[in-house]
Amino acid sequence: MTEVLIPSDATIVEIAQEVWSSILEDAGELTSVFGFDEKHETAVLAFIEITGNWHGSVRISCSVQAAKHIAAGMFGKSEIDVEDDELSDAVGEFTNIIGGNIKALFPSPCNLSLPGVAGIGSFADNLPPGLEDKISEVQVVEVHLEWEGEPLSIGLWENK
Amino acid sequence: MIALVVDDSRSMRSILARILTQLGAQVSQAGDGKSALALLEVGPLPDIALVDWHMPIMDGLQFVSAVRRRPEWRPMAIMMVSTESDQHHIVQALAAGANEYIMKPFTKDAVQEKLELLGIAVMNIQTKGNQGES
Repeated sequence: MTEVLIPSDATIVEIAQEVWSSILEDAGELTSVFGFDEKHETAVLAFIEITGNWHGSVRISCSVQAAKHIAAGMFGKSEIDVEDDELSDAVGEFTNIIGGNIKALFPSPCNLSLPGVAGIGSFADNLPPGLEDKISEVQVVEVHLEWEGEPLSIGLWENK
Repeated sequence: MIALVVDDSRSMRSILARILTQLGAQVSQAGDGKSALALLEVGPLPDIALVDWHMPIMDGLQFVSAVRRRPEWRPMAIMMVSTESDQHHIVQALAAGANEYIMKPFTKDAVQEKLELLGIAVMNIQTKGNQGES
């Protein structure tokens, strides 16, 4: 059986920062933090599934404001002009790119699903479509990042 | 330069269209391979198509194969733009008829370099926020 090494927190942070700075106009700095204050309420949720020599999912949650910044940076418009469908599309594509770069760390062959995006809530009570049947997955990595005080978390969940 | 961007993500199409416009291209867009084939039927033939791999209805690999079956469309260069980075996928795309392959995320400079490798003339049009990053 192929030996699979789980990517480190530092590697996930590096991928997130590279994707952030490469695809967003006026990206600003995405910094790694140890955790979030209670005041932070993540509201936009996305995931993408990896299957093959490693099986699990990459789950991203962020505040609405961070999601608007992602969408604004990708669509080249101001945050106030971002429509809901643009926000969903942009967070989905952001998740797809991060998921693809994480997938590349696992032994080939691995496949990537299309991303799923949901809004408002937590993964526990508001799962993006397609994530309902992933209750057997356990979290193996979680990193917390911030852009101008707005939270963005990336979790790696393994299907055991 | 006339360019066609084929990607199911509107945000990714927006990024690529912005970069290509800054490089002097006229850009058309399609959300899947089937819609892109319909645009090719109408014409004019683009100099380059930038094609995502994973799309609903008709994926990027099916689109490349369909294009390469039509002799009149052979002059169009095809660049895959994908998160698929393993050797197997790259070989598969090139074997189907793609000319170049670029990984997401990418910078404007990387896209420009790939276009130049394909012999496609580009010009740098400076606009707000155009500092070499996508």
